[in-house]
Amino acid sequence: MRLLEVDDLHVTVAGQQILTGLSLSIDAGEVHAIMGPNGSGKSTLANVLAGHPGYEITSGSIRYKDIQLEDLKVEERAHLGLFLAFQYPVEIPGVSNMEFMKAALDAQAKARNEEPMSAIEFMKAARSAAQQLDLNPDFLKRGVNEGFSGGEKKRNEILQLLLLQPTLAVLDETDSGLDIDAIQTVSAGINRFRNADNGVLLITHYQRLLDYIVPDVVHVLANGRIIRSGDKSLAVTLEEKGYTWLSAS
Amino acid sequence: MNAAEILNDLPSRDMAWLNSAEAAERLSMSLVSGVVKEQWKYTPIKGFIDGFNHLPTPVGEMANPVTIVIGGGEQPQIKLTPFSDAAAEDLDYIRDVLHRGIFSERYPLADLTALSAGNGLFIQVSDTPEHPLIMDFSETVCTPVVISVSANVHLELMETASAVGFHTQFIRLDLGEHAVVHHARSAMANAVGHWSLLQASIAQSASYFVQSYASGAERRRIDTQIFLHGRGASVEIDGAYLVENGCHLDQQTIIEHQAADTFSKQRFHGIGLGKSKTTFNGRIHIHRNAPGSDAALTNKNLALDPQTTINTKPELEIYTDDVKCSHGATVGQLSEDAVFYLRSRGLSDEGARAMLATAFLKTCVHGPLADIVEQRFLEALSRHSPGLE
Repeated sequence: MRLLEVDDLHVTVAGQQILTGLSLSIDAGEVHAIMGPNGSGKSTLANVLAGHPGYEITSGSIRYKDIQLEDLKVEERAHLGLFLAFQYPVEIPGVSNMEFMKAALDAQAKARNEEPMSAIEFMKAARSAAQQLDLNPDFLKRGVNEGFSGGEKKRNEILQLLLLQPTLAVLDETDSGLDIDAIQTVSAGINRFRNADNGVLLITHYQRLLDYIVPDVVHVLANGRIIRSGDKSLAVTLEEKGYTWLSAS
Repeated sequence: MNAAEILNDLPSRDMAWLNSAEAAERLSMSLVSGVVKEQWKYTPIKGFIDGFNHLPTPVGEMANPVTIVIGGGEQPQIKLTPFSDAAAEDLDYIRDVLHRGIFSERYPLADLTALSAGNGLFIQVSDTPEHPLIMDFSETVCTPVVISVSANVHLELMETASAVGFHTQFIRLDLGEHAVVHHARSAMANAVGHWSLLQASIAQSASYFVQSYASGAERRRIDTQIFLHGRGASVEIDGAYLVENGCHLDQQTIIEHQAADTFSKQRFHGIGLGKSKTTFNGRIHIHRNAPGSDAALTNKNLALDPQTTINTKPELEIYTDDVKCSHGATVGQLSEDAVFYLRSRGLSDEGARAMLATAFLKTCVHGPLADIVEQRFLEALSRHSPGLE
């Protein structure tokens, strides 16, 4: 089943053209990795998919589950199972992780006309997710990302992924700022999330992450569009030769 | 009606705890002084003075001007005495602390309150009680209260102002050496007019913790003055306030570091909604004989409507070296990045904004009144954004 179809997408930020004709399709059960040099538009793609109001689509289209995505509000995209793991998660003192996640789950359940998860079920699920990510259960009581280290913030994004169980997860540089052990833990969490019905779009700078989360397709983004796609071996070649190899070839 | 006319109309009373002639004279002088003009810049004092003309009953003629509840029933450690029944030595003490502190050019409404009240309440806490002392200023009157906490005593104090008519109150609180007082206070009724003054004097190594919560009212002014007069005395104040459309709140705090190694920390978070007016003025005064003082003040505000007015002014006066002092004041809006983050998880725009606003206040809300205060803030935010759940 086709989850995402991006066609000839052009996007500007503050009047500056960032994406210049990006096309991409992801089917259920697939993991796609997007690599590319700084400033190539990777995070712009992630933010546009999530509906950040600072990004303007000037032409092209995004269809998600056969629905025109650009017509939907940010929260409506979440209700339809789209999830963005932020590169720089926001700190929200005064709201505990548990309170935040319960509110998010309740809002999503309501939008889907489902019964909300009971407090006990929620606690069990939250504790289990924390355990899978090697996080102390006290972590759930702390303010959202408040005083967290860079690594803890990224783990917290994956904790939310495991609890919300979206259909398409866009992970924006989730590996940046993680030490080797943390990369393995976070990768294990993402691998647990993967199944035949969902998809993952992995944005990363480094091939290292792809040793743990094996992608079906690797894309190279440069100057606002995808210039090369291939299998995992493309990432290995990039690691060896750098992006200049592509612009030269 | 001006203050002089009100004074003329007051019944002449014999109050052993107040030098009435002196109070009347001071009042007449202070109302035209520059100090008062500056301090009442954002809240016209005239509105309060007018209120005294409409008071139904002087406190001296009321049986229970303040509702006092002592948890667990009567406790021998806490003694309540109307000023009118106070023994001579107690009267000396009451007169002394009031005339040395509260009755000054700085607080003309204290003189007016005292002259109008005719009586007051003296609370002595001689030993650590098992239960909290609870006070509710529930009547439309002017109420003076003097609380003396003996050395080494630990006290939990809860204070609410629930009257909706015009009312004024002042509390003078003395902490003896090594005493520890936790004071939770809220003024959240939508009163026609409400002025309150909390003045605390903290002796050596005593610690005073205050949680102060307020809503706007038709007209509300909260003055706080803390004297850290003993070495190592400390005060920590956490405050949160929310001012709804059409309401007014003016808070003025003064911390007087009068001895060495004294410590103060103040953190106030406030939100203005709709066409409201909020003022916060926090002054830290480090006296010449207070080296080693450590003082910090932060006041953060969110203006959630283009029509909201918020004035904030931190002030430092330092007259000695070797002190640590910091202050900061901000007025801003909700972070749109944070709103986007919450919405990306499925919360509605309104829900995200309410969660962020509540969280902003909640960082300063704790202690015994936390649940009810949070509920009141949430109700107010819901009134502002009807789509909220």
